[in-house]
Amino acid sequence: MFLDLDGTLFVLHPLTMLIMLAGVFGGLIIGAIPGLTSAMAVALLVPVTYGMDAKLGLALLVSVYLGAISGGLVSATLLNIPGTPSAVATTFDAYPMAKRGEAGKALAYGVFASFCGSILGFFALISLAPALGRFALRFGPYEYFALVVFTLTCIISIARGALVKGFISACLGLFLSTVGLSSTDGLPRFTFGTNWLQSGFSVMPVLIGMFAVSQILDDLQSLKKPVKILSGTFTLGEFLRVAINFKNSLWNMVRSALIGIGIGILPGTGSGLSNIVAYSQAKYASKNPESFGTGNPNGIIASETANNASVGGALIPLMTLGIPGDATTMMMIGAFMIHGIQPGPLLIRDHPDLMAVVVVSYLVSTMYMLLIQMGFIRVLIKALAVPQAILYPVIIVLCVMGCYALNSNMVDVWVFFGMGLLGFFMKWTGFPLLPLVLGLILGGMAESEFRGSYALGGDSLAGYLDRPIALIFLAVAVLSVATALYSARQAKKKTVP
Amino acid sequence: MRKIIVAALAFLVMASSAFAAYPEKSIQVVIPWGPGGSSDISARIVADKMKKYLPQPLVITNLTGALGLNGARQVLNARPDGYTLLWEHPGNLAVAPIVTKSDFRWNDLEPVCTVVRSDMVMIVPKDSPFKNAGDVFEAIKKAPGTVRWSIALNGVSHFAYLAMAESLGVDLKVILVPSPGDKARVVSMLGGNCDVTCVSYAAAEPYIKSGDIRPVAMVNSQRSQFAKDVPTLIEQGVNVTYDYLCAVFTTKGTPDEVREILAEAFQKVMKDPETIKALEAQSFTPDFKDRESTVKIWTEAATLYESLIKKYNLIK
Repeated sequence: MFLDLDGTLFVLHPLTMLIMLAGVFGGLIIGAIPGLTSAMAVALLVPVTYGMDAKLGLALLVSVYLGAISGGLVSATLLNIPGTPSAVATTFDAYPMAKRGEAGKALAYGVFASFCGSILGFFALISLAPALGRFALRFGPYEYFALVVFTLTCIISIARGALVKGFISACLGLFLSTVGLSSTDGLPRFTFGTNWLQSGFSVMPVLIGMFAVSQILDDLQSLKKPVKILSGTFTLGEFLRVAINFKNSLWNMVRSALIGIGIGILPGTGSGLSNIVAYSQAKYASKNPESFGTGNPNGIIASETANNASVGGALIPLMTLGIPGDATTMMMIGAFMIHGIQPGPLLIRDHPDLMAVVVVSYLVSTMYMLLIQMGFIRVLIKALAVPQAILYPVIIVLCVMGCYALNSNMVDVWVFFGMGLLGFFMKWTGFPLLPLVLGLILGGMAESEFRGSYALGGDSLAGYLDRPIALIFLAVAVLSVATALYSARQAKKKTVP
Repeated sequence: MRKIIVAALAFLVMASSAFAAYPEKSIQVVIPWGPGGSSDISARIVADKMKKYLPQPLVITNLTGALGLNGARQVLNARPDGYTLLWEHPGNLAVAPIVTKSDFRWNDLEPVCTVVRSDMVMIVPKDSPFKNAGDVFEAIKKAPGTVRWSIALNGVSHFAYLAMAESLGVDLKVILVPSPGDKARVVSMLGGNCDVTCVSYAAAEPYIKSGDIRPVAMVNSQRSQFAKDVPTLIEQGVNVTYDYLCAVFTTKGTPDEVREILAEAFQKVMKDPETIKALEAQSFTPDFKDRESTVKIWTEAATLYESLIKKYNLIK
């Protein structure tokens, strides 16, 4: 693809470069703080960009977006708290590895995978954007519903053995997603006639409540014991060793990046889903899946490659069709519109400079992200040497702030604490937490897409028979549940002779 | 006695200066939708130009959730001093509280004035056989239950469809494809998942220009200045109009003086050529209407929606 020179030069201007550096840095910090997400960072910044030149505003938004997605790695690795939904699967292997005293190595894997994911996302953006954007339109309600069902089966690989409890947890999440006003027809459900349940359960308070509060309550029991700091060394040499090690995981990385790009392109889905799908696919493909969840670098690679690749993916429909790929890019549309530019199919033709700005600032932000993280990992590991008695209250305060800032609504704060207690109880009784969160994330989408497909088929499900993509997803979903149940049974036979 | 008089005078001075000085701090404008949407954009343009006409800035706050009711409720429960405003159109606020069985209605808020209009257009895919609205209705009558019409259930586009059926006096039997939001309906059409839908002109414009989508009728009372060659539904014999008229509300109990200061400022800013130019670039039309006409428009809209809800038994 030909890049417009004006746009390219604009990004490479020293002032733009400086502002983007601040953007990536700020994004990384926001992403690293539990409870603050990339969507929130962009929501805060969009009004600020209204006062700027359109190109500068876009460059800043892209840099913050990329930074915030990458920043989630830090709290996921060092605290076992995913700062954003896009870092959920990162906790599975990065935290156990950090606990072993290899925090530096875990972060190095994450940083390098983020970098690779971004670069592959970049190539998808510049080479295939128009074709991929059109392909994404083929996804109608049928395909979305099938994709959601398929994603739900990822619970099998993340429930780690507790299959039945995982399903119960997921069903609870699906149930929670029905509370509040239905997104399809606006009718209230399970609100018991009150106002405060109308907004339902937002994903963020549930996610960070489940993970942060329960993790902290868990650690409280060991507060009196001598402080065990996540010790880790991080040197450039180690980083290079990790980078060289990557050749063993090349296929994993490419697969995860493709999953990330693909899910990113689809309007309405993004890095929050892609990291989980990529993780579970990496586990399926692995020769020793039992090592996943104990600190397998491939788990970190899958999750972090996919979530960063999704950023490139999400920008594709935005630039080629004016359709946002996820919640964050949805708000970026405003940055175009306030300057009198209508994002749509003609954007690339009428404003080639803007396309160049987005593409080049994406690449520059990726470089910044790598450099800043390489420089700061050492500092971050130091920061974790702060005694837990001081660190944890600070985290809780930040989480509460993040939950409140979501909708300026105290209900979200109570949901956060309530879900924390539920999460602690579930952990204690052996129920995996993630299926619940996944159920909540996917429940609303599953319902509205299912209703859409049912209506499209003339109030019947026959329409699915004409949709090969949907059928393939559904078939794979059924197969993976069946094989999981079968192998669980085989394993039981072996242990109980 | 002198003390009392002094105190009373002081109080009077303070009280009167409190009104004279309005606004003495920034005014919060609540947008019940996220940043980057059409409500947000129009409000931000107007707020930006308002600097010339009010000594204090209008500060935009996006308060989303619960179909825009979270934002409305914030203004409903605010202090009645004119420092909290709501930016909404009847297609949502006149109907959402009814659908959601909420404990308030649009008229529990205090209307200030109407500010911006955006046009509504009926669209079909580029390769559709429908050339005008008549073709669409003919096709529906000829083969009931085959034409796919995308709507937001219990939203404006749903009521527009029902109003068309009412006006034609026939049961327009179609496949109603639920997709909430203008953007979602455009995507559904681009992806070949619906045959006809109604969206705001601003949302459809880029795709009309690129040739992916064709307009067949404007749902406005008059032709749109942005699409002068597209006839209205009325011209095509269907007596249905809908104008997306964004109005400003404040809390019930706000002093009349304050409300009038606000209305006057809005009237001035909507006449400013700079505002007009900035709004028209986004396919919005400045359309100031005073409190009385605003109340009339909203009452009519609410009555129509309520009768349609009852007649078609939309809420069980």
